[in-house]
Amino acid sequence: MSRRGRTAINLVAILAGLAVLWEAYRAFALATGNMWPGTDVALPVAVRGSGNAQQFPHVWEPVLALGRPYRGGGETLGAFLLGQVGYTLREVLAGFVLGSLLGFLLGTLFAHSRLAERSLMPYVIASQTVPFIAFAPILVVGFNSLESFPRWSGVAALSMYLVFFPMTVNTLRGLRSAPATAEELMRSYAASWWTRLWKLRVPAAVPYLFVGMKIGATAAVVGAIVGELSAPSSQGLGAAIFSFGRVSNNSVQLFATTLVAGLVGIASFSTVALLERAVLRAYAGAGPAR
Amino acid sequence: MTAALLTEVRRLRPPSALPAALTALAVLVAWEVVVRVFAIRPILLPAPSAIAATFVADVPRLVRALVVTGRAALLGFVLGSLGGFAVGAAATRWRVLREGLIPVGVVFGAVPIVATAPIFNLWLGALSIWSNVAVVALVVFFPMMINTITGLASASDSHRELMRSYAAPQRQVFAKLLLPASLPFVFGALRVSAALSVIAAVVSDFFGGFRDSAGFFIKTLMANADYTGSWATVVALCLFGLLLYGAVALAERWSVPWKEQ
Amino acid sequence: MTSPEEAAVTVEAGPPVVAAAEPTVAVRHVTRTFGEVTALSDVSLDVAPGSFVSLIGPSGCGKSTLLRVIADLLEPSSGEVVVAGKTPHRARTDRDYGMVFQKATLFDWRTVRRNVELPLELMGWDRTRRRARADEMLALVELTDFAKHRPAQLSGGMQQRVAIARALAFSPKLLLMDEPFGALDEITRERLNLELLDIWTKTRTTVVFVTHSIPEAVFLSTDVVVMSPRPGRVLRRIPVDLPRPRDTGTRELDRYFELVTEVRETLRGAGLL
Repeated sequence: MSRRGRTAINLVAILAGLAVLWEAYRAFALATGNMWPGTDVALPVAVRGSGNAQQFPHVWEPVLALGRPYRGGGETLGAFLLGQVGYTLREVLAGFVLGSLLGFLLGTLFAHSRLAERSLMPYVIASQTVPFIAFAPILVVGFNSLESFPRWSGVAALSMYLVFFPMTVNTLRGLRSAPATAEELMRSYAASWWTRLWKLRVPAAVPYLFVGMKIGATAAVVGAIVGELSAPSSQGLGAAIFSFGRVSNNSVQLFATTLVAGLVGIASFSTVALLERAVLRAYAGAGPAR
Repeated sequence: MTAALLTEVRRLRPPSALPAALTALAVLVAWEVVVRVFAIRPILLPAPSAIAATFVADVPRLVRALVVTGRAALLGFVLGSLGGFAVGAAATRWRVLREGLIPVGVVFGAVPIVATAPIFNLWLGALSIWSNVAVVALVVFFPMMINTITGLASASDSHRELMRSYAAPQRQVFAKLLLPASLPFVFGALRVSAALSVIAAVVSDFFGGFRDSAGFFIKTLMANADYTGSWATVVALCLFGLLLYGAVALAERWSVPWKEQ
Repeated sequence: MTSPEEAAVTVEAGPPVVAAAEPTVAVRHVTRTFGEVTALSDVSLDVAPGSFVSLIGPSGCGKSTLLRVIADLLEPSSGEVVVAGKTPHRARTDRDYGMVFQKATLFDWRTVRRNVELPLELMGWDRTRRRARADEMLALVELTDFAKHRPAQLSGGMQQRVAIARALAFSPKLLLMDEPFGALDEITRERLNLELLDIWTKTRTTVVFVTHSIPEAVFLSTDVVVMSPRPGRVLRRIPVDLPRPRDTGTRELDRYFELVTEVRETLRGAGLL
């Protein structure tokens, strides 16, 4: 069997194993009345509630809930969440594109100027060791106070911020990845800085750019969801998670929404990964170690 | 993925301090000047001097906030890292785990795990520190698991052959070869996790919970138009994040001295 | 020196009575396949105690495979191997041989001295004995001053000397070397050749040495075994009757050139040159 086929089977096997563990825990807790057997010590997570208020539903119940109306009647949860996904994806896309561009430009600047790299790179790195996501409420509220921007732009700005860093670092690494001898060869042709950039360094950097964009694709989704939950606008997946999380009798919907958020993250990552595979296949070149 | 990234960062040339320090000074001065000259509203950007003043005045509140949030971050950091290491180490023994867990890690690496905060609030109680700890631990778990698997597999074939030529038992191969060879990878994950754990703890604060937490302050002060107070809290969190990161970096220099050359 | 055929007969006739007559390594009709590829085809080889036998041939002739079969790092598909009068597995668990690879294969996290101590540690030696022995070995390879350095601070040649010290630390009966100087520059290589001969003379260890350098094989060995690829088999065994002790002057002797030519002609005769 091909390696990819075996990987897929292993992945499915482990996910199935996790689902079985989930159900086993559920059955165990129900059987023991949420206690460790023979003791009066409570299990860490209690299995209780019924209908939409279940705290530990069967694994399939959140999925089924997507097909049911999510409050009283009318729109199904799935349809409602689809609308929220659309709203969130707009922020993700804007943040991802702008963040990638900014990162690419900054990386190119650093590759061009040692002084710029030395002056700014420490802050680019330091900015990732600190919880800048704590700025989420500040950024979102700040942006929302500017009337000329749409309401989702604050969240997009947070996404952009989280995307730009991996892109900067990987652009810089990629542009520096061309072998010194190739650089010398280009110089021996008296190629200008621009020619060397476009004919040598950028092509050499492409695999690295994808590494940066794959990290960015995930970061953009995290940024959007965290941004939404701190915005008072109450739209998007993050806001939905927040509101379902506050009211305890909606817990099955909370599980369903979190699941959808996870799928959005995976979809975002996979889109870039598929693009990467298509481009690198056309290239047939070696990528960086991943 | 993120772990690999920070390892990459380390490989970049260490910058000399002077241009960086000058930049910091220049940025702060420019920031102050711009805010004053253009009379920028604090909701957008307070002046650094105003943030500093609030910071100094608010030290007791900030310390309390850091204790609440930092405690969850630290506990989650330790538990998640231990869990990730244990599962990663177990994976070297069983082939299904070894081959299956890497893609599982990639899948979960693409998922916004911090969004599970409300689920843990539901399970463990919004006012229990364990719900925050659980989110942090889960976020930290996957990078550590992946890096442990990668690290324990990083010993070269010829090193393994050497140990085989000594007829070394499995236990000694692990203790003397695989484990030390994995340390740079484990520390790579710890460095990433240091940053991630503070992030996860704050986001978990945002989802409700403790009244005195850093995330709670940032959110409520912002809603109450106390913008400099909110900024000061973020600055305090950044300092905490740097501290944690620095501690890990120091521990790394001490435990992985051979990677310094 | 008995020919392989004669030695094979002796072994098949029964266990040897005189210990000295027993070869340190006896390979009998060994075949090893990897899937479709036959890496070794019906190879027989004897290595007498105290001898220095080089295996030489182009890539794919199975010389490294043969070394690994002797070391019990690979199992033969068919045939029999005896090392120090035992099965290779027994010889490995008894730590009867030391091994040196093309890469120095040092542990980055250990100092030079602790690298040499590694096998002693695995054999349960106590710290004082271990340390004394490691220092002794480092003196033998002239690296005493570098005991506290880390491998990354050493040149390629020095790293390989550490690997040799490590392989000899527990005084094994047999030293197996897999292109140990293959990654080094020619000048370093010649110097290490001299050092290795010196160590061999002092320790009288039996050596099986894999190389793809004809001059190196002739200069070092008591016997040169020429192998050919696809499938890997022994073409010829050439005894080297150069005078000892050998030194830089040896490489200028007419006999040296004759032997080098003889090895080369053997390879050319098989269409390998």
